[in-house]
Amino acid sequence: MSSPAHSHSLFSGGRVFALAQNTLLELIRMRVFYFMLLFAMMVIGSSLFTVQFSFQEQFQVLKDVGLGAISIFSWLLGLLCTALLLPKDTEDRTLYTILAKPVPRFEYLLGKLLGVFLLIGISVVLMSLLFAGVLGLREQQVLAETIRTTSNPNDLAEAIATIKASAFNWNLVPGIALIYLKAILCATLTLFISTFASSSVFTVLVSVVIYLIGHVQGIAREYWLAGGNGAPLTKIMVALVALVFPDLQLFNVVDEIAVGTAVPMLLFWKITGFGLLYTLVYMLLAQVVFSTKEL
Amino acid sequence: MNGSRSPVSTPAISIRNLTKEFTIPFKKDRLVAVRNLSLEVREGEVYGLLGPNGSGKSTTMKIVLGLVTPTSGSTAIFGCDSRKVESREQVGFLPENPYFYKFLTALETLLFFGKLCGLKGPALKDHARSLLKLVGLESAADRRLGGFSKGMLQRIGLAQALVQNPRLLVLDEPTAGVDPAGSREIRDLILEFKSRGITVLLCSHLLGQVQEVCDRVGILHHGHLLNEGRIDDLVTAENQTQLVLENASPELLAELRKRAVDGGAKILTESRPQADLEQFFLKVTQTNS
Amino acid sequence: MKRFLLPIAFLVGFGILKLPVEKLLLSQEQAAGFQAAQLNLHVRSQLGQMGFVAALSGFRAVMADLLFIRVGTAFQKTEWGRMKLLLESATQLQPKAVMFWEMAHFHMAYDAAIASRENRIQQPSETLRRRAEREYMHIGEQFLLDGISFNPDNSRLYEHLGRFYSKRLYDHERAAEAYATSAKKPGAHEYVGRFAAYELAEVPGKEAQAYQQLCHFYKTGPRVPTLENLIHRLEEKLAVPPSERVYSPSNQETVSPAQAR
Repeated sequence: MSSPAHSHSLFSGGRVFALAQNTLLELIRMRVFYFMLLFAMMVIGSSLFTVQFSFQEQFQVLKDVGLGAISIFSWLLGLLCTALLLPKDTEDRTLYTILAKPVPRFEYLLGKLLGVFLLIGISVVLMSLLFAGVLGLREQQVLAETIRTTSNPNDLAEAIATIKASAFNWNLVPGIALIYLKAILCATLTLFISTFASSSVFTVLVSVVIYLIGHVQGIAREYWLAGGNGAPLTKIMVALVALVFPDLQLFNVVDEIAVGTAVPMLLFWKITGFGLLYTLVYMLLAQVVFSTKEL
Repeated sequence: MNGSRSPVSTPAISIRNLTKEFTIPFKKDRLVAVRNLSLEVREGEVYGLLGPNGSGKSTTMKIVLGLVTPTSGSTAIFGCDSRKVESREQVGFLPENPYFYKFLTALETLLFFGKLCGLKGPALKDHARSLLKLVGLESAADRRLGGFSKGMLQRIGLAQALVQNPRLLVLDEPTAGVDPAGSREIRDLILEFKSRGITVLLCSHLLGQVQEVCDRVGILHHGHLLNEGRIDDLVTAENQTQLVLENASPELLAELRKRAVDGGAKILTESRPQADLEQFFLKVTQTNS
Repeated sequence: MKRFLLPIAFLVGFGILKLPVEKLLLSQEQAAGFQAAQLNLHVRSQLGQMGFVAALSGFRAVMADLLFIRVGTAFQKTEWGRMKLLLESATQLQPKAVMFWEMAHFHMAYDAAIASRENRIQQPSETLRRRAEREYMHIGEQFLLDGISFNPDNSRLYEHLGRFYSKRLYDHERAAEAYATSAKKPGAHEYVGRFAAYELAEVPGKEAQAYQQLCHFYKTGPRVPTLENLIHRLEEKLAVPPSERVYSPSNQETVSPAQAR
């Protein structure tokens, strides 16, 4: 039998992509797209409750519920899928088979994570398209009704402009992008936890707790930086929260975007850069722990 | 390691003074899985690593494959430190009770592992198909692994171990849970690998099968290498002779007994030889299939 | 445990470095109009524990909408006090949603106020009914002022404020000021500037100033009947010489309000 006809490369995009592709396929075949169905039902169903409101209120509720659903489902998807990755491969011994090949551990982690990122990305895109579609449908319904009931051309033009301003607008896209960024940050954090966790349940619980604490980290940070007069133990706890946990509130800008506040592009890129930095940090930490893990 | 053959003297596996200790959580004691183990597997031979459960076989294998870090000592594959990722370019591994991604077909599984080894394109696909043919799974190429039997899973495991044309195969219990026909096929494959010059490190509890395929064996117990050598040398009783006669008359047998005793020999057993049950089983099942 | 020391040390070290970055980003977001919500015990009491956790976890807008839906239920039951609490929480959760401030103002300054004034069955004393009406009107006014503090560039809130001062408090000077501010904000309705002049015309001593503004609107158009009638009244009141008068009854360029829009 002939020898391998290639030399080993320290980093191979091909290996990473093969792992990412396989992970994506594995996760999709876990029927995670049922989440989509549930989301779709939520978005469509919520619009029925807004019939008694004015069209502005209807659009407001539709946008808030739709974006909230994208946010929670993308986070949940990343959390649950990532929490299962390592334990499943370890339990099934697939991990041994893969790492017995010339695959560095960091490429294995990276490939798995990219697969999750792809899944979240596809999900966010699909949910966003559905969300935009439902908003668009509602917009057409309201426009049709307005055209039917308004005779004065000037009144009609103003009403149409108001309706269009209330419905979907492209300012929502950066907000959705930051929802995706927060989801992949949380997924990477979950991967880091799973590298030392004893079970996937532990990983999920800790990740949920960190998600919640991450949203109040700003309060702890401001309290600690202000040098509050608290008990020493309180100060230590607050300091730990401020230092160790990420401020996830920084990524929650879509609520204001939904009511018409546009995010400046420079600010958007700053937040994105910060989020990617955090993602990289958690990825590196996961690699450090995983590289010395006894399999 | 760029694929060129190393000098003949370089062993396929070289283990020097290997020790592995595991820490026990919340306890000061440490579990010593392997103690100062040294052995070599020569290129081209089939080496059986034997031992009861907990003897350190799996740990030794994992260290050789770079999955576990040794506490002290070193392991190398064709001269390349096992801790380096490139050492695994030349190794194919079949774990015990292998489990692959159920949602992949046999062909997709080989393509996946081939890509992990840096192979790609139509060449990879052709190679994968030839491997499926080699292990007798050509007709199941497009079937998902979720529907495979135990024997089929072992065979696809062998195929993935061969995907990068390794010079060394590490097989952990390759015939565990497989029916006699499947076991026979796997054993035949191992012998074929040997004929192609592939080195095989085999771990198995089925000593009869080990005896059939291995050139040398090493016996581990509590992490120590108790004994090592060629099977013939280890199991052959030097001072005993086995003689099987066909159509011998009672008078001839009596004469032979008398001559043996007169010659100072001792007759230990005298019985009618029995056929190998496995051979009988295979003969019957193949006749009736 | 040793293998965790490095990651923990790295996390803490990175934490020290990222703190000022987070603080800076937060201040920049707040300057751009984000992160304005206040989550306090009052909001917690309206949302309940799980709702508060949801609001803390980045679902403020959804929680605000839920509270707003409850406002509708309270309105049908005319539970004005409960409406006030719900509206306060909703606006605190989503201070950038102008619609919430508008509805809060309308419900308090108009619905609740007038209902209190007419509630003869539960409150026979007219003095107390009037007092309750004034209190709700003040609450409605405060909602607008708070909304303006969070949305200083929103013309609608100033417009509502002007209408409130004019129709409810009959304070034409403040109404004129509010309408004038609204007219300067982006997206203001074209009639708001005229409304400022109308209100100014009702302020004693400001008739001349109002007349100047109304003449400007008359010249630039549209010439709606309210504008023409007020110009005519002011020209009479201010005894403007006929040759200098802008408005003439025989002027055929008068347009209806509908045509003007």
